[in-house]
Amino acid sequence: MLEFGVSGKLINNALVMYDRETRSLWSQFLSFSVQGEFEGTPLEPAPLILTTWKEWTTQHPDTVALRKPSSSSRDAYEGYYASNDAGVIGEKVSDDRLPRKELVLGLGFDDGPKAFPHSELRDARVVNDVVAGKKTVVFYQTESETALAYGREADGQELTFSLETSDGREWLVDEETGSRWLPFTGQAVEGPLVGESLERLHAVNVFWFAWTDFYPDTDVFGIS
Amino acid sequence: MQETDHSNLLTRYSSFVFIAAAVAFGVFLVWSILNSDIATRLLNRTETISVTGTNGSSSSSADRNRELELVTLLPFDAIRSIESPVFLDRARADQLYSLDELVLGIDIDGDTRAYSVPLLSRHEVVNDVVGGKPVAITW
Repeated sequence: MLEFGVSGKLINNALVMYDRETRSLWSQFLSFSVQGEFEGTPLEPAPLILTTWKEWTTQHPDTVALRKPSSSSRDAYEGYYASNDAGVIGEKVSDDRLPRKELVLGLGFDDGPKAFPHSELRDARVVNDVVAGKKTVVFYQTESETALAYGREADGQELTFSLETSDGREWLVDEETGSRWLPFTGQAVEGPLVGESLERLHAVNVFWFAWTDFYPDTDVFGIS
Repeated sequence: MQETDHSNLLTRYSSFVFIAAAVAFGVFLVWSILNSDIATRLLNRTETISVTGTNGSSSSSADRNRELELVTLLPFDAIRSIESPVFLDRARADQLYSLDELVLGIDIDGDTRAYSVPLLSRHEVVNDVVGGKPVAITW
């Protein structure tokens, strides 16, 4: 078990951590060690959800939360999020397919990178796609701006999803069996596939410039 | 004699004041340099490293070689990660978290935890154990 600290170094403007045991450097974005004794060793991504406190507590009423020193929810980087600046050191690649600070959900990584812009997902809501050879569904919740990706296979069959709203709640429904799935957990709760779960896929919410600095030849959803 | 002693004392006293002022000024100078972009420039080193490896998420085991630019802006631990996170129950957390506050949420085997993004912006890394699994929550 390793303990990580902040190295003060960046790769393409993204966090580089170090472990306190060997002082090897680890890239957050690439999720492997880039220098030191552990060089080349991968970290296993654990699926996180970036969402609002309101949405998280709706999904998980019994959650605990990291203690904060005050009720302030001011983020030191608010000005940076709103600005057009590309990180601390500027962007390496300028790719005008999207505005540089457009948020994208990045998928596929080394196996075949593809970016799903939040601006496109806002309209599409659910996208059935194939990313890096893997059948994938991307779900976007507009109010909380939450973007999630799953493998769209269960019980040995390929599934095609659409969005259904009833009683003010949203469900993913597959065309093949008509089962209803919870969009935030990927679990089937009604229909023939009840009890099945979709595999959460490793994905990151990042600014467009950061994604293209790592993957200049990325595909982009919705833009030809 | 008394007068001379008195003036000696004054001289000694004023030299102490002078030394103290010089030390204070020195401390101020170091502090302002550390807080200025001179320090950033001093520490802003860029090296190109050649790395072989592949994402933790990659399904193919093929390692890829890439050249990466490693930029040093700050020394280790200038931004303090969290080593022993403390958690609030839902009721307490509701008092401190606003509804539209961004969080990173994790659920491992029913162990569900949320981490305030504004707080993560200050610490960048939280070392934690969730559902019995050691994880680093990073932002």
